[in-house]
Amino acid sequence: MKTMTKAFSFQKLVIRLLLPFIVLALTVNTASAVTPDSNDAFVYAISAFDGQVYRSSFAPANTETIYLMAGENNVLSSKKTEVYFWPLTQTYNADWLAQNDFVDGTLEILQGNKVIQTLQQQPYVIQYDSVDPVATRNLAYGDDADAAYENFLQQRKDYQDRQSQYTMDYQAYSDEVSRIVSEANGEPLTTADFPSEPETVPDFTLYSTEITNGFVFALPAGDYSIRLRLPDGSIQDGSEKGLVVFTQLRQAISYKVIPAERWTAPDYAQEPDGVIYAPNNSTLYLVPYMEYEYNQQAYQRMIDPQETESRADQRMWVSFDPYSGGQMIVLKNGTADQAFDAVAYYVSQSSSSGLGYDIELFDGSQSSTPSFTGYRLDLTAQNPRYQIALRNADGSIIKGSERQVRVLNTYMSQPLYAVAFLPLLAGFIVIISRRASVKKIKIEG
Amino acid sequence: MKKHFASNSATTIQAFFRSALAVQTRNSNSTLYSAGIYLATFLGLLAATLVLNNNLQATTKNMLFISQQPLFLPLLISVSFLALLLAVMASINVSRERDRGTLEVLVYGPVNEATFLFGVFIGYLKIYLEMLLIILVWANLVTWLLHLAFSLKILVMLLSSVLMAAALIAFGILTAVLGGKARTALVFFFVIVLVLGGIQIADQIVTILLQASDSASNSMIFLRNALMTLSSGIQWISPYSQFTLMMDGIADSIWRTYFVHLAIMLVQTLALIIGGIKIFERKGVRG
Repeated sequence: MKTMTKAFSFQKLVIRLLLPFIVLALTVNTASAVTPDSNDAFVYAISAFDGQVYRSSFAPANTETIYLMAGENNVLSSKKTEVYFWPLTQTYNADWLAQNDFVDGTLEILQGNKVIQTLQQQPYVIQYDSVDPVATRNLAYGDDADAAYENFLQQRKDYQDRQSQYTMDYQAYSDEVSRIVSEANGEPLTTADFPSEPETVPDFTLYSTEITNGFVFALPAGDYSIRLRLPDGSIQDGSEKGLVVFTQLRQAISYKVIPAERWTAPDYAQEPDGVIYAPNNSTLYLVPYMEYEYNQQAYQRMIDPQETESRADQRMWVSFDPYSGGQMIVLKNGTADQAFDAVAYYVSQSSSSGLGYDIELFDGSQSSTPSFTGYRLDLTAQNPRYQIALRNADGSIIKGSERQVRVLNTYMSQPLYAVAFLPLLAGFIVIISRRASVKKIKIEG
Repeated sequence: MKKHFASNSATTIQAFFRSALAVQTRNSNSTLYSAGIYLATFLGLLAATLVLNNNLQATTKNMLFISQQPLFLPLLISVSFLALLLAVMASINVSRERDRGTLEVLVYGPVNEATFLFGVFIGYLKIYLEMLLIILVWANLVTWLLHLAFSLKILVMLLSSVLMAAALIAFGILTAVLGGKARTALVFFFVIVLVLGGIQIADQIVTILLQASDSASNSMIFLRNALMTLSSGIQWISPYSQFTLMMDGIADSIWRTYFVHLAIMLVQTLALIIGGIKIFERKGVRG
């Protein structure tokens, strides 16, 4: 009975604790849904170069500042569209399908109160191959835009023609195979009796935006402001915004770290003073990447102008292309002790068990391309700590490529708990010695 | 005349510190020679050990652990716990002295309101520093046991935590002065801490609830916006938030951020302790 009462009061306690959350959850589910109201508004459509590719975003009226990368071509387009507020994300969204009209005018870029550039809208296209968007990205503008778009259309037409031809060839091939089989009348056939299958057409991976108009410009790092001057000489309402053009703060090397036993769960060592820990007797593969450090707020708001969580006093590392051509060195007392080149590896499904992967040296027989190219490190009791770095072709160490790789003593759980008793031990010593010294005090008289 | 004035000022300052040091010794010795503070430090380090052990388990499972400062979070837990406890102790100490009337006896001597509060403040800060020494030894032992990379930033972080402790102790003293009786002072202390912490937790819960739902009521959105605004305001007055921002600065070596928040915490501590003294002087030792 006593136990039941206890259980009952415990239930009551749990219900009391959870009640506010349940009420909150019910409020969320049962209350009427918010239907956003949209209205016609002036915005800047942005195609910002993020260091690798072009990212699309837009700056509605409440976005006071646009962030762009220095020294790279970026595009702003002055547009009128349907804008609605989406309460869940606390952001304004654009309904480009409902309205997507150009606003004619010239873009004025100011530094202080002085107009330093006046730009006219010009046609542009952004193109890339989806197999390798970073290496193939292309912003073509002005007269080049038409040529680039024509080239894209021609390539797409060629692909469609090849695809049609392949379909016809394959149909002919299928008919021929059916004919051979029916004429054989049950006689055994060999592969030599059949025609060769037509080659498949590689996928069309080129992407292009349609030709559209925008203001294409590249600026050095600094604080600017922009405004759109309309053909009648007036300034477009809502077009005056701040423009922060930023550049990288530091350059370093980041490492994608792949544990041999966890190929599917790599992690990234981006901070130059970060330490890579792994259990004893483990093997790690390190793939280096170029990385750049940016002001956190500038970079995040370049990607999403309405973002509000980033901080202006913080920085962030962004990894870009894999770094190839370097040599990894193991440092001992600041000098190179060992050096080794990057090796190509191929990852295959493990044949020994149902699950898991094997990382093997790439020899070209398994696939046309390796799974990754990197450096292998074995952590053992004899080699529990590495100080690694990458060396250039000229022999100099690449700044920001140094990392510590250490064995983490994962078996030390119990001693770790024992160390937590240190304050109790110290307290015991202090209190006992205090009592001993108090006992020694003799009161005379 | 000028010389006489200067000599008088020096004597007053000397007397102030002498009295404050006497109060400090009395308070810190009584805490230092009792088991409670060691038990509290042990509990803080036990919580830190749980976090570290969790990292060890995760490393065993994932075969990898990448971190700039693996000891920062465990240390943050243990120093925050210790600082909060000392703030509560300082609050109880001040209000009890007044409840029992011992403070009234003290002020007949060379101790006044300012020297008493300042003495209590530096007394608990001294205990924090002594416990910090144990935490520093613990951090080095753990670094050696787990084969972590040694980092001077741990030392910088621990030394910076003294400011968080100072701000919290000063806050504890202020609540004692405002609350009067020990029970009221404790209620003041915990209500303020729970409201400040609760708003930040509620902000996170409501944000998660909103993100998880397909639709939301206007009242929920209003609640989330209100909590978000309050939360960002609290960040500037909460010593814990300021300390975590300082830690970000230390971890990423952004020293400007570090010094900005260090200055904010210094101003906070000074404002709290001077505010406490002024209110105490106005209210008097009998309340």
